[in-house]
Amino acid sequence: MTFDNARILLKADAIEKTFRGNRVLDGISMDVHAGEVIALIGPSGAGKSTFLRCLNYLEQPTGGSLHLDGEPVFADPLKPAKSELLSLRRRVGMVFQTFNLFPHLSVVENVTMAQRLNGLRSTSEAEEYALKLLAQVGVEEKAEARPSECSGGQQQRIAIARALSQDPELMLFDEPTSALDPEVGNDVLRVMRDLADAGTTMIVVTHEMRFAERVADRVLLLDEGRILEEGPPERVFRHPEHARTSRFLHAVLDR
Amino acid sequence: MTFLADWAEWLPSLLQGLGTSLLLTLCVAGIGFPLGLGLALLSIAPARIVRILSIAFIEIFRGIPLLVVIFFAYFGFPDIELVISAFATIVVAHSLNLGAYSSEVFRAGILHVGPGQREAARSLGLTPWHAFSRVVLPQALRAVPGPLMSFLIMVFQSTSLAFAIGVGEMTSQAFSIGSMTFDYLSVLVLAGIIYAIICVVSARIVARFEAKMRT
Ligand SMILES: Nc1ncnc2c1ncn2[C@@H]1O[C@H](COP(=O)(O)OP(=O)(O)OP(=O)(O)O)[C@@H](O)[C@H]1O
Ligand SMILES: [Mg+2]
Repeated sequence: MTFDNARILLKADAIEKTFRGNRVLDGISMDVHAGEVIALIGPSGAGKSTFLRCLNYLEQPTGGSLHLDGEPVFADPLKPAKSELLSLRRRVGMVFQTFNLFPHLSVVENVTMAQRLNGLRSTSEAEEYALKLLAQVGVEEKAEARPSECSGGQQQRIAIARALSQDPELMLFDEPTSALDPEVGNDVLRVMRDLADAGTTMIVVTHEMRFAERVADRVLLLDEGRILEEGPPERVFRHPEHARTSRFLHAVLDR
Repeated sequence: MTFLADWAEWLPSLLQGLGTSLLLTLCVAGIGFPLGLGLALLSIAPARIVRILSIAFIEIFRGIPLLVVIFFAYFGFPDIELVISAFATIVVAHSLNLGAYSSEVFRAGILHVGPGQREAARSLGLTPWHAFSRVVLPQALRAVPGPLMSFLIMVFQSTSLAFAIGVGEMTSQAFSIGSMTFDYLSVLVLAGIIYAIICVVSARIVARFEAKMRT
């Protein structure tokens, strides 16, 4: 384990989400240590995306609370103040399955915009930092291009650079390679692995079991809005406690 | 070929009227388009009552013929002790009409920006205002110039309605020439040709612009 066991960066406590009577998250609790990489796996409809989106309040939980670095994120989790929301989202970066780059901006502007608007860095510092991040994810040659002129794999790496530009303490990834061809997806996974090696705290929803096995410190299997199985990858993958887990793993590995 | 001599004689005053028509068009666009954008925003506001009121406003001004709105303003404003020039009356009435119509274009543009864009903006910790003004709006506005320029041509044509309350734009000028020469047909043909030339040329420019936007 490369992470600092003592420090809990994010504490999710009994997170619930109900969509019009449909209970999608049934009280999920989880501690994320600083530097830890968590793979969130589970069948379609299990609530993985919903849970991830509850962690930066793109989706407001209907119950439960979040703590970052020991401090409650919201005075009242059901009535988030605007400033609390902004501060949470600036501390937690997110990467989407469909990249969602801003098509009207150049690649480098995609990475500088939030830095400037959020008052994190001056224009020139933001630009310098953006170019450094773009180089880190291997797309510096596309800095002046439009996102539409980049391949899917490049776009996703740019999206990672954009999320990193806020200096987040925690990075969330929702199936970052699902929309990509495998070879291209590997470029993205390599970038994520470098991040993990550099000590970035990450929660990754993924169907890439090999990535989960090699990079994650801990695997969480979500099923019907609950954590069904949890542990180091070798345990969850080789010796699952539940029959459902083995069935799910077989189904995924057969694909 | 005597009509050519007549036309040459009338042309200066028609062109003067044309200047007024163009000025009206500019004023109407300057007020009507921002109004349309504002109405579009209100019509998708979070508060239900705001949505209902703005949509009602849009429907009313799309439903009432422009000429009726012009008369309504012309005869109605003095009743509420609002004294403005005929020119200003036209600008107000026409802007309401244009605002109502163009709001649909702005609205479609805004709704065309997918939820993923808003989520990406929010996930970066942008304020709602920044998310709207830097992410949603610029993308929404990329789709609107073509339709808005078509509106502009229609506005230019319907400035001829200003004739009804005696604003000296091109149709009024043609009419007053006609009333002196009793040769209504000839002067209206000339005015029609000028309208057509301007509209055809601008429609061409718009079409070329739209083709360029698409590539
Ligand atoms: N905005 C929403 N409104 C209503 N129901 C929703 C909404 N978002 C998700 N759900 C429901 O919540 C459940 C969990 O969805 P979620 O997207 O979190 O699953 P997932 O585990 O990410 O699945 P997948 O692997 O297919 O991405 C599903 O039944 C889905 O229909
Ligand atoms: Mg999902």
